[in-house]
Amino acid sequence: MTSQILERPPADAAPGHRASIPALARGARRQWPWILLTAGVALLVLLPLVPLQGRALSNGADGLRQLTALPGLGAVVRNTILMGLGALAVGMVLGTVLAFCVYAMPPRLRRYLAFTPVLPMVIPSVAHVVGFVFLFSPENGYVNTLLRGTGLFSGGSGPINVYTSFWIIVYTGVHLAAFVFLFVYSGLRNLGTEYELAARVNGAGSIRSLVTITLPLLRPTFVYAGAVVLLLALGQFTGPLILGRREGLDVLTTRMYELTLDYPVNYSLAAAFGTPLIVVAVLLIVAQRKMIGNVNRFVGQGAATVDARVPGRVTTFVSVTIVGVFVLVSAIMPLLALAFVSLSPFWSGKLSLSALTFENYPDTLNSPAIVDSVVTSLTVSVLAVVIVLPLGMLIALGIQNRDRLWRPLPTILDVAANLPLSIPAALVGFGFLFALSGPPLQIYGTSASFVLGYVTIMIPYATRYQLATLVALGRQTFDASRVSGGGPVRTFFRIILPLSRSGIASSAAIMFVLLIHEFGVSLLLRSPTVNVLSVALFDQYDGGSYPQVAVIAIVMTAITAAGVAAAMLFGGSRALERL
Amino acid sequence: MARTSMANVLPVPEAVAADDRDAVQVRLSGLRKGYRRRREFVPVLSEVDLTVARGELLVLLGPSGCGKTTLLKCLVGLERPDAGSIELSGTRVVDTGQGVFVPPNRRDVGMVFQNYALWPHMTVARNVAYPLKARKRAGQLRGGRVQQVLDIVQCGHLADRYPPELSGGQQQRVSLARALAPEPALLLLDEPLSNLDALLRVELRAQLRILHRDLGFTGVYVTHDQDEALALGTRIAVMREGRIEQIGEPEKVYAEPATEYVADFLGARNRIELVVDDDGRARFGGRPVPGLGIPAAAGTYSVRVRPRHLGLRPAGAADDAPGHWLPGGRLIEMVPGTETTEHVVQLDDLTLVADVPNDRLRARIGDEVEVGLEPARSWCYRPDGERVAEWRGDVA
Repeated sequence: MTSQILERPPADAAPGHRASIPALARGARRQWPWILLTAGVALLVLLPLVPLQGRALSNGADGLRQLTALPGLGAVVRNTILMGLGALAVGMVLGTVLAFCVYAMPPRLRRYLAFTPVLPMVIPSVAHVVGFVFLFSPENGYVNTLLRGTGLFSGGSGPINVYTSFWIIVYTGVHLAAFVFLFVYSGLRNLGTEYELAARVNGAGSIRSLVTITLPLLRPTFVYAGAVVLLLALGQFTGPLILGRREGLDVLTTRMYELTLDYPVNYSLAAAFGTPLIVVAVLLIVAQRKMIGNVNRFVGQGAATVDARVPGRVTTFVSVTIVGVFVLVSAIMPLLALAFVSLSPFWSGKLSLSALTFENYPDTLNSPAIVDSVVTSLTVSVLAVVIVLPLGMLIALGIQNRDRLWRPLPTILDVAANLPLSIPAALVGFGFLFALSGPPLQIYGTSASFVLGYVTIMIPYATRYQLATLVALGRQTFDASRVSGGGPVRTFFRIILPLSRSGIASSAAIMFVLLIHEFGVSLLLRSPTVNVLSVALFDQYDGGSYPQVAVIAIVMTAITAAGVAAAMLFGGSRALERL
Repeated sequence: MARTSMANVLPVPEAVAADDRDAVQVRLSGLRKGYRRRREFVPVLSEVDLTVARGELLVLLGPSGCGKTTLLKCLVGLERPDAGSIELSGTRVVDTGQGVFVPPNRRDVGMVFQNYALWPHMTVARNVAYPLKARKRAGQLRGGRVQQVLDIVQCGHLADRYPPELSGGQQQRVSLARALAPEPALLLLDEPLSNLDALLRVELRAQLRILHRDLGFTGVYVTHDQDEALALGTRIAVMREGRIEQIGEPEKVYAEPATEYVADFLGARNRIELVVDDDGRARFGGRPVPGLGIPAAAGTYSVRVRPRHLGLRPAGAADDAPGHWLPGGRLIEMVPGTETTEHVVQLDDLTLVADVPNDRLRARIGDEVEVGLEPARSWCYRPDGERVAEWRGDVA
């Protein structure tokens, strides 16, 4: 009981009270680990952004000047905005409708169907786009073939052309609807049923209670989801890259990627393509905070109440039908198309069962390049997860114990740990390409560059998941250990770790899935000798080897399914919400 | 829990010797604590000075937000005061001037949390053993301290269960056992009974009292429940806005609330404002109250009365009940209870409450009534809240 530990730094001291200088010095010593952690995290997340943007602004903003003088820039910006806003609209409407449909189902049905709208997110994004190509390609798309077979449509192609901006918007909107669904559905669940029931017993019909009570209370959810989805839609890369190039539809991220294919790479110009996206991200984050305003007004207290609603048969039927159609079109049909092409000698657009063969599987999986990419994918993903889990736990502990840290540290940690979420993956990838190609790191072309990139983009997820686990356990659980004589190490290993074990395991599985899916950063970091599965799939697609593409997509989906099963085993069916 | 049975299982239940009782176990000096809310500094504790004698159970009593839990957290080490010092068993654990702050795991304290904070992944026995392991008390562990302390709280048979398998009352007792296991120099209890139902609360309150008497631990107990405070405390400290408003033995604080705030908090809900003339005679609502006066300077004074001490009789009743009677009241509500009925009376613009034994008064809502004020069972306060010590009620 004789140890002396430093007094709180003066930031929190009462006015007029000052700690002595030796006390301050001892305080700084105690805060050092946290200062180092904050600096390390900030360095990691700024590594792909600051040097690159420095390049765009150097030499009298040479990059930006080149950008503004670029022919065709207007069309690229127009496409980016049009596709971003269009996908936002489709995603928000569809996701909200899905959330209300699932919420309107009887509890028994909801238990089994609540996770189904998330399925498009479970399919790797590259595989998902290719699945859509197999379905809706104007010439060979299975759906187009079937539609032309009805006799209602003439000609040798169409009626749907997945390569046009309208269908790119629809595709991206469908993909983003799953995100919106997650936000709105959890918002509805947190809100509980009491507010709506109170409106009903006060004379409001179902429409009035929806418009005057439920929707206004969900405003923060809509604002938050809207901002996140708009950022994702403006920074979309996989969809426009695979679908847009045939019709010459470029967006900012794809043009940036195309610049990296030139030699030598015009880093200044490519960096300048990222500048507007970063500006929009910052503006959206600020606007999001302003628009939500006083969050306390929207905090629902009804989550603990028993759901006493009894949905009618018509409501149930309509809800199940809408959700069913969405899942069929967005997840099941693309998967079936992939499976069918993987079993076909080639992709012809004809649904002929007679020529089905398993030969594509051994052919593809025996290819050394594919085997290498599978090994690399698994290795770098596992390594990144192993590194980011403790890092995320430390950040989460720092944020949770914000009152014990120097005032600026938790805020910086919080902002830094969320930053990679707001920046398009392709831009982060390009930033890493730039930062890792030159001194002092010079690790471009190695697996280490993937690990570094993956760790950075997973920091927000690792932090959020583990912070949520810590918050759910409550600080008293940890305080009880400290009061019982447990120091930080004992408290961590005996209390925090055992109690968070399932949460951590579930997070690890989800992050593994996200990394296996990862495409934007991977495409920019790949090299002739180091490649990962998602990029190998893209390479095969570029080369026109569609059955091989389908086989890789099915393999990726199988790995994903195993990861998701592990996540659900540890974290229950709600683990999928962490996607 | 019978006292005799407990005495049999206690290891060294030395009752605290009389001279030991006076030894100071905890000393707080000039404790200050505040928070910043946006750019504003919000004080939570303001210059708190306090001593707790060995073997004493001090109850911190006050409404939500008065600073009692913050004070408790400063004592245990979960909060760092902005200024001041804390001594525990003669060891300085906080001295902001010297930059001394001993973290909770190195203070000789135990704590019972409001929601018990039992670790769900450990059995009851492992929960209770935890502080002994963490504090490296191998001897106590080998000597069967865990089972011993579980027996003390009547939970010996639950040793192999997990906390989620226990009832609220059992969890509370296990939490107490965990805190008591290492025989801490100071036991802190943060509203430990507030999550229990009323009957269990009364039962556990009695058990806590017996435990304290038999074990003689030094404790600080936080509550907002005056009954709990009066039942358990060897002293109570009523807190208001980060300061101790009054501290003393429970009976004395209850019988002689030093300020109007304490009187109000300890149940004297009825406030009657009297205006005193230069000659010391009291007026209520502009009318003189016969025979009632205050031997103090002219001005406005507040009289505080507990509902069970407020007299009530039908208008015009000529009995010789003691007190000064204020006419013109009207009964606006009656809330029946098992022993007494709560009568709500409108008197001018005041709403007063009188608890009357069920067999004493037969009245109906709307009846005209008179309200009786007994100076011996009420307190008079100046506008600044200080009690008028000379209040006897009668005009000299």
